[in-house]
Amino acid sequence: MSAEHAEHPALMPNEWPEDPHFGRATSAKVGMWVFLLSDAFMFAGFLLAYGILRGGTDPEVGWIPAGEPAFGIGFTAFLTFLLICSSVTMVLSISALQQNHLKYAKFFLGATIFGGACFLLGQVYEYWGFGLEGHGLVPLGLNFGASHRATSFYCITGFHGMHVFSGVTYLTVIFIRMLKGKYDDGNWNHLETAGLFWHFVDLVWILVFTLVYLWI
Amino acid sequence: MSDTTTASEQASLSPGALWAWIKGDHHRWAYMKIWLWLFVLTMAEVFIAEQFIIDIIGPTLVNIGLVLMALAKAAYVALIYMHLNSETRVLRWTALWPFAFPALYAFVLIGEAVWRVFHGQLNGMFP
Repeated sequence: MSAEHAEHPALMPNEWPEDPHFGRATSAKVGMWVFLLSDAFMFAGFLLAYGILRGGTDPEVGWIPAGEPAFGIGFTAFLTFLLICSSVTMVLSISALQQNHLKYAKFFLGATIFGGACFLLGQVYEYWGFGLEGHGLVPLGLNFGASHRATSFYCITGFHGMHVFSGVTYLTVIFIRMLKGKYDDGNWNHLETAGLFWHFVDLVWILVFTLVYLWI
Repeated sequence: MSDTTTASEQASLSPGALWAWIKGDHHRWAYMKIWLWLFVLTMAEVFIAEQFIIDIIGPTLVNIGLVLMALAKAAYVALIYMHLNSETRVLRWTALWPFAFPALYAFVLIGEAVWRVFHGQLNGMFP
């Protein structure tokens, strides 16, 4: 950081200059929205391909080939609930920092990271079953490239899993900065921007859960 | 560090203290209500995807119900948790209107794939 920046601390989000189009949205926030839009289009591409493959399936053959395992709806619903919980802790962390309540901000951000990490572990279990007998989609015969169903499933959920991993990493960096006192002035700009990414990951999963796991 | 920050560092992390803190602000209370709705809608989705419900109302109605509930959940997250409802109209529409294109693509391309199936033109379309 240059000496000039060090002398002039970052503006608080509510002090950001008013823009006729974007109000007081910070440049980080607008930039994150533009990024999320492009990211959403990538997910839209995957989901479109999935929809075309599934919609174009010959009814006599069926979408689920013989021998492929069914998805664990109950377990995935639990993972969905986990992401929803991590979304509410994320927004509570931002609310705490907005009030300069650092202890609660750290607590809720830590809970968010924990929820994301548990989701990732859950996905590893869903794929490989931790080596347990009769668990895991791969050991049970859902192999990448074996069918349209298997390949689209791994592409979509794997791409989403990479986003969860990125989100957990991103939030961990913010958490470490918070522990080091970088946000002791109560500036929530970075946390809110990271939060947008995290909520987006939750939002996409809501659609993936419905369209990939529950769709009849 | 300000006095406010020092005081906050001494706050308790007990469930009671956290609950009181959440209830003490209408925004945070709204977040919790949305969290409850997201939970209820997720459970409702799992419920209506059960086989006996499909047998009663049919797969088409189940799928329509699933999509409507998923869109409601996505809207809650985008508007309340991502604060799109409190952003300017320009930012809100900048984030939302481009999704008209994937929706249009979905309607045309998935519709065409289904049409091909029903007209027996699927063979050779995919390897």
